[in-house]
Amino acid sequence: MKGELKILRSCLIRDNAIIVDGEMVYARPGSFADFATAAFTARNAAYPKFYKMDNLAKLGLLAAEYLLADQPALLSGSPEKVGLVVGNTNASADTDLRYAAMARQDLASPALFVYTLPNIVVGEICIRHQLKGENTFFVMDNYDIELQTAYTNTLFQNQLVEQCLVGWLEFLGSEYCGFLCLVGPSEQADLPNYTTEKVKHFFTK
Amino acid sequence: MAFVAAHNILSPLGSTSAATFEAVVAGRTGVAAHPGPFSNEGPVWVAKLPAAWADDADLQQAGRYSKFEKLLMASIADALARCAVDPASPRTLFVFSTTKGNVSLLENARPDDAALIQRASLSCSAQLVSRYFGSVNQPVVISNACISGVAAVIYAQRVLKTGAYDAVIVAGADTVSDFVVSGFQAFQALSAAPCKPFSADRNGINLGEAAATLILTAAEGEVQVAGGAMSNDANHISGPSRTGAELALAISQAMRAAQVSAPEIGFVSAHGTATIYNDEMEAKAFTLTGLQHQPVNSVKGALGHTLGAAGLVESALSILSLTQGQSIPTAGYSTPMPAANLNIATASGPSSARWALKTASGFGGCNAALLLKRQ
Repeated sequence: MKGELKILRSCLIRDNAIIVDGEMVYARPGSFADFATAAFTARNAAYPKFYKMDNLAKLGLLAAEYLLADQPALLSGSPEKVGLVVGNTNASADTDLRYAAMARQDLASPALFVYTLPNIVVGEICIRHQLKGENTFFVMDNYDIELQTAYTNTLFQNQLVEQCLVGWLEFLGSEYCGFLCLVGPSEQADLPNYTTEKVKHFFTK
Repeated sequence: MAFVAAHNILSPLGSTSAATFEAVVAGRTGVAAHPGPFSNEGPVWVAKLPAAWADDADLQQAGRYSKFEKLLMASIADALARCAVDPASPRTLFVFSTTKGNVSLLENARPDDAALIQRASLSCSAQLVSRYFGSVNQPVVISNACISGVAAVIYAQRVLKTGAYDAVIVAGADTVSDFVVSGFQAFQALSAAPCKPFSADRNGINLGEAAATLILTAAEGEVQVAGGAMSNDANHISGPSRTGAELALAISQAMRAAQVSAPEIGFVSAHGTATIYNDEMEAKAFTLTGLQHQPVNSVKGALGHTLGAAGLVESALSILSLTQGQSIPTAGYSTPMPAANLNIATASGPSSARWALKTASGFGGCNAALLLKRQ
């Protein structure tokens, strides 16, 4: 795969709005649950697993869906060579609290317990899009884009990935932010270079 | 290049790597029956640390630490005492590995208790522990289910290779909390007895608690972290691939990075959790990568499944096995799995192994493989 590392596409989800490459493409006021269901259904009705996911997994899957689903040619790396480097601050605390409340009432369920790990959202994205490459979930005080970019560059330099999904997936209570970029080599000059500054630009739209 | 400058294991079998290793090769186990989280149920078989390890009261006060944090601090302190690495140097990075950290603090938490949620967070623990040792850098926390420990070592090796740091202190821990026990009970994944990795009659895991530390440096040492890789099954979030192909992928990639072939690998420190699915999947992965003749061990029967610490505990044991020339047995092993044809290490004995492979797999379909080489 040839060319400089570029941000091939970005997707930001916040305040019940979905923004792809800086343009709003979907919005629906109300609860996150209603927004997520409507937004996902608007794109793809044939993935029932979505509706059983926890908030964080729904957020991640929604971001991946709007990033990838309508342009299948974007994901051109072979499955074993598409990586994921994602992080957040609160890990799986949103679901941890829900699970703890259920366990107190003797209603502990395996279906909920499995989501008490922050990397499950990465697993769900991998299943949906059949991605099998390098994947690591980082927990950070705040979105250290420089650290993430440096590590992702290392993966490309060591030829461990041909493309990589990078981003920030955060959910706690009523606060959330979902952000994913597809990064990879491209000879298209008008695509933004994969740098900390450019990632920050799309993250703060 | 990344070398192991020092290591520690803090476990129910000993508070140093040497003590834990000695107990493991002698065939001892730290797994025992303990009261479960619910008073109306029977005991759970877990490997627990002595009760003296407990949370400080009033954790929101400065200078008070949780059990999880104290385990990390004790483990790191022991490892630091065994090498010349300065934790306060700007050229030293802290990397932490854990699945649930201080989750026991959330067991009765109100969802609007922002201060408690912040105090219980993994990033809070990472800040407190790294600052305790005078670190001037932002700590890195990897929370990637049961592969966290191996993933953290792989991250450290890759970061050292860039030259950004001279030393990386990789530390991990997880405790046996009611939260986690109840979750695995809900999955019916727990064995009601000491577990039997890679055995025909295996029937579930034992949970364990431990802390472990590996200090890696760019400076030459006796054991090199020679390469590693991670992959995802892309199959199911709580059950492994049925073919083992993606773990095999990670193993092959790690071997390619380390420039080593299957017959050269002296032993495999497997994930070996003793669930029906994991051990079957690992057996397939080992066969796919030509490792079916190499000795395979699992220590989950001796130490339980220590989750975020497992990759570090078991890497440290593997390092000692390489340097002391003594093989690691598989506590709890009974009879071979049908159709698996693995070489399961049963008793301990002399070993001339130069290369060790450490594997791990976890919820979310993740896999990791790490190669350790005695110089």
